[in-house]
Amino acid sequence: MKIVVCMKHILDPELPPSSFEIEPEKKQAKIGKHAFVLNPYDENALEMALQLKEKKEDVQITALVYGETKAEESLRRALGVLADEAVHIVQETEQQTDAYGTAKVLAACINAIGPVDLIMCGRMAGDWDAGLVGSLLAEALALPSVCFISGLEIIEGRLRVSRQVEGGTEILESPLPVLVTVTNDESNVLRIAKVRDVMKAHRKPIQQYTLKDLDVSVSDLEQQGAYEELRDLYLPVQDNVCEIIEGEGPEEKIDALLTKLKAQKIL
Amino acid sequence: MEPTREIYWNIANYGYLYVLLLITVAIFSRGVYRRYRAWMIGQEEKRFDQILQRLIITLKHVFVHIRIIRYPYSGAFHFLMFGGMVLLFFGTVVVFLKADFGLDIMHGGFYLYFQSLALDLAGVSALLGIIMAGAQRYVRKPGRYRTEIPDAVILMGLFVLVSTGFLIEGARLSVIQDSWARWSPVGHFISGFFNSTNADVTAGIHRLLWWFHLTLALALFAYVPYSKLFHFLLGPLNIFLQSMEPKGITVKRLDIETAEKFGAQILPDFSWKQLFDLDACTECGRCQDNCPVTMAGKSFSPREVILGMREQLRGSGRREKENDESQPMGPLIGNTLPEDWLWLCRTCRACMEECPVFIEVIPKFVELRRFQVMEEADYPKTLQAPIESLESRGHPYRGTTTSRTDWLRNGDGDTDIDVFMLNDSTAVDVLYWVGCTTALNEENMGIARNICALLKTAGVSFGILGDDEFCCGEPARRIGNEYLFETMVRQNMETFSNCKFKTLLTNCPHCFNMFKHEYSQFGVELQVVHHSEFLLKLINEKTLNINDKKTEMMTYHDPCYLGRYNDIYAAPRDVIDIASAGNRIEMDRSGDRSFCCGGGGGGAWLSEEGEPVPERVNVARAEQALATGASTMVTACPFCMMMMRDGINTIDDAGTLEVVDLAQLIGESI
Amino acid sequence: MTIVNEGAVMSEILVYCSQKNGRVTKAGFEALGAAQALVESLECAVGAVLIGGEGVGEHVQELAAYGAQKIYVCANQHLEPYRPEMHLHVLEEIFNQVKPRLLLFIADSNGRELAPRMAFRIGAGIASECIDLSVTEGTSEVLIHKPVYGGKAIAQMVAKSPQVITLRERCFEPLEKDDSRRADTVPIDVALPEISDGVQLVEFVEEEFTGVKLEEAQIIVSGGRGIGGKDQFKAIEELAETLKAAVGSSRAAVDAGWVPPSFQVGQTGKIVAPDLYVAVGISGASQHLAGMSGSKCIVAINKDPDAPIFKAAQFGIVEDYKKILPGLKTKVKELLS
Repeated sequence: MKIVVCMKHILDPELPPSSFEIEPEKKQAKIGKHAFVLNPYDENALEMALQLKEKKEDVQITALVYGETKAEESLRRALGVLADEAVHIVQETEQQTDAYGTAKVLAACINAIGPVDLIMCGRMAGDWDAGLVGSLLAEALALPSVCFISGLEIIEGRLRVSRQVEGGTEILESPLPVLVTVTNDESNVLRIAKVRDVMKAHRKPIQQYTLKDLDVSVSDLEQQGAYEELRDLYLPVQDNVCEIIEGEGPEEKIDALLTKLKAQKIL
Repeated sequence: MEPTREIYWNIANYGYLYVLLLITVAIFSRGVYRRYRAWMIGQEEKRFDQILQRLIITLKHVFVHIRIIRYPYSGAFHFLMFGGMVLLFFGTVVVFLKADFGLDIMHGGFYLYFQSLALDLAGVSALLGIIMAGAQRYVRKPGRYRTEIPDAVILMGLFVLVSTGFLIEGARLSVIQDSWARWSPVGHFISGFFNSTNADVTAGIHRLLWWFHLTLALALFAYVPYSKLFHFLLGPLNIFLQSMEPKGITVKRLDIETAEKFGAQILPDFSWKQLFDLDACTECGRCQDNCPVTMAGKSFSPREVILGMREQLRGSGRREKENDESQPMGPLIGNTLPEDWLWLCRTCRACMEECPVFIEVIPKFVELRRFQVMEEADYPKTLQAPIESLESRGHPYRGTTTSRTDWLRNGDGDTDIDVFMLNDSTAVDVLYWVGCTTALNEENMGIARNICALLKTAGVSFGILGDDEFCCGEPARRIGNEYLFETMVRQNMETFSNCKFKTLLTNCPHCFNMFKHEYSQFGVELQVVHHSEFLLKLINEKTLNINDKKTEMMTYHDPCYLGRYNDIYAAPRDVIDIASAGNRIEMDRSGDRSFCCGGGGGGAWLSEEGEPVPERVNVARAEQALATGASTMVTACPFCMMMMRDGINTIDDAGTLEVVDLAQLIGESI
Repeated sequence: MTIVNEGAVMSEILVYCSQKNGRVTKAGFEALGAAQALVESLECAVGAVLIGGEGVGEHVQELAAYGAQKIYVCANQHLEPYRPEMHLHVLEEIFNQVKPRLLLFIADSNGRELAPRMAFRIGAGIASECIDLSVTEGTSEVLIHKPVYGGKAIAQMVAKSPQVITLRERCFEPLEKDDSRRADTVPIDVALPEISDGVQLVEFVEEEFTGVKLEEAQIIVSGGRGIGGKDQFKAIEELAETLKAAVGSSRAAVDAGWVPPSFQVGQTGKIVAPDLYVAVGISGASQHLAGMSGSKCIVAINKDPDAPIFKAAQFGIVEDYKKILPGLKTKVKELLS
């Protein structure tokens, strides 16, 4: 059984707010020397793939990343926890890609890799927080998909998943091949790698593809009129000063608080 | 006639002595060899360098009883017994030289002063010591003692041995009536009781007692390698074999590229010296008496760790376990050692500082941790968080929303403190290394602000690394991920090579110890100073002048990595005394007996789930601090600051005790 | 991939209405409200889309009351239970008929799944987790605002034509319900595809209410040492229940045995980032803050004005929680019903 886990190497989502800065002209977060990590939801997907491998025979896991050179760190991480293969689609530094474009590139690569039974993605990337690539990729590959799964089993060649929705859990079934997006759960926290495996991982080969290899051109990445157009990226105005709610008595304070929460669209 | 006595007087067929001696030597040798074989299953380790220094240290500890007298009563009786037995031993050697080598010094003044008087006094000393020891074990019964039958056997045996020695002397003196009898006062006294008995009867008694005494002596000697008695050989040997590295070198490096196994899983993974340690243990329990985890009430004990490993080494399970894995080659964790014990050690060094035979407890924990962390990737979740955070972010505080430079923004959020950021062109005298624990924890940020203010006031040329600072790596090494630790060392080596400074100043004793000692294992030599020493220097040089003296009652808490690891006890106290009106009180446990705050060795990240409040190390220490009645507790370590604030808040509802760092204390006094 | 004729008059904004148990959810009305807010500047009408089993058309009046001008109803027994393929098929059909400018979904589990797939099929732009929609003055350009980088920044995107958007819950106001409003109901008759195999629902396990997972909760009510006792902690649980929130705690409450360890939020507990974090009787030690400072909005209720929690919170009430919580619970209940 062949599983592909699609991963993204992103700016550390736990970057302290005071360190987070924007480059207004580039409409990008300032990178500087900030840490980059494997997208936490992709970690969950990887963990679920690994658990599947432990339960079944003959499971091959390919970790796939579309990113710049430093994205290979995430691939090494995947190899360190014993993914079988690592594939890197090289992204040119200045190349901006939106969700459609990413889906296109990943689809091209997956088609190049060969017949795949299961594609796993994190439910969203912790930088752009969009959660679109998984579903778009499923469309591009004409596959069924299930999103936000937290449990997964393969029973007699069919997929069985549990999915968190409002009000409860759905148990769903699907034939293979299928694409799933994964949400975090206490059962799918990515395991710690053994140091020896990490050391070996550094010596394993990573297969590289360029867009040219995949027959994808830059213009292909722009989905004609639908390409995501970013007008602005800005820091929300934030005053860390706490507003102490005044009032004649508890009743007034409660009312004042609720009004403010409503105004902030929190309630 | 010259003062002397006839050896073997009244003993016919003393030749049998040699038969008994042979048997004894055989039994003794077998015992020693068995132990030796067990030690030799361990790995190589070089402990025979600097022979002269080792000898000097050993003689000091053996003859001055430096550590043994830390418990005065025990120190006293041990010295009496030891002194007595050593002298008596020399006395026996003198006889042996004369009997078997014809080397006769046993006459004249020597005979009188040494062989007669001194040895009698030695015997008294020994007896007194034995009686005091018996009282300790069977009457006073300290909690740390484990008393079993062999203890009674040994004490009784020695008592009877020395007593029979006197009886024999008395009997001989009674029959011979020699003119130097008074030089052996005890023997002379005892001979009085024999005087009323027929001389032949006395001689008969003498002969009987002589053979009994000899047999008993040889029996005890043969018993040595099978009992606690072995300590009189192994103890001094273990002192001789101690690590000659500074205490701050906590553990040896790991050769990651070539090591077949990372850390230790089974006994043969340890070095022969670490296994030797196990047999040197006299079960005195002083380690657990000073271990903060044990004292806080947990079932953990450093002695039990050593003895558990020893039992496994000797092939029998201490705990009743049916599985085969309690055999010497079975894994230690989960069998001889409960798994959670591995993570309870705070590496505070109280045990190692106390142990009279210099058993190296902490390196064993670290080796076991290395295996669990690096080979098995199996260790507590809450300790995985700092490791993961170090790998991705370069600091161990997962979940913090502060950056390394947030403390530069003064509490009010507006004014930035102006501090020079080190670069590769400008040289400064001092690199102020803030450290993760100070920079990334709200409650500690004031320490850094105060230090900067003080350095500026004193006109010191200094700079900081700001966001370029990367964790020194200490949590990685203590938790056991030496691979990660080495990458961090290399990262910092690169940072240091890119800036110019003379001295590294830090307020964190963990960073301090790292840079002062442990980084030298990687060839990094730095001049390192702790802020307590530095502040004292500035005060003494009058570049810092204390104006406002504090009047509240204060107490000082010694951080483990400043105190026990680096013997810095006086400087912080001097600083406090200068800044206060002489109203400092010591806690019961202070100085080298200071009680850990619980934050070291990964302790700051240990989960408290399921841990009753009184069993927490920091709460136990908080209770000790509150007991002094002081209103301010001063410390010199950001870990201590965090842990003690937390511990005090847990039990001090009235808010009577405040915790401040030395820098904050001085900052407020300028 | 077609581009809609931009000069079309009276273009529409289609709103896919999420349902639960046959009724449109509050979130569905929020989406209608969001669409309504654009009606004037874009000179368009709001069309609600209802897809479901045979009885799905029963409550169309409610949709009108909340601002739908047209209601496209596709009722078919084969559309129950929900299967994404089916709904996508119907939606595509409706899209081709209506050719809307914008297609809005609420970002709930189904909406998040349907929206991108829909966008792909119709060649529309796609933007998700939108928290605000605006129209550039004097034009018909729609701007989509969404949080990125975990909420640390806001991205402003230009809507394409057509554009699919998912809207974050509780960010948009539904209209005031006005039963006098009328709407045209447009029945949609579509030949449904035969899907012999594909993703199928096998079972739905309804969650017991206490099971709101702390790490995923959008609202958390958390209690600390200031609560005072196990029984008193019930006040926290009750408020949480009213808010449909998860219950959290600081370490002190766990230590005291008032709550199980799984409730603990903090550096050695759970790390959470809800939209709203209500810290009751929590002092705000940095280890606790480390666990929840990623919250979008923090409200602190503590009787100690110097408690560090107030530095981290956006709103604070300095008052004994016992005086605040009961009244708060009642008022919240009113607000949310």
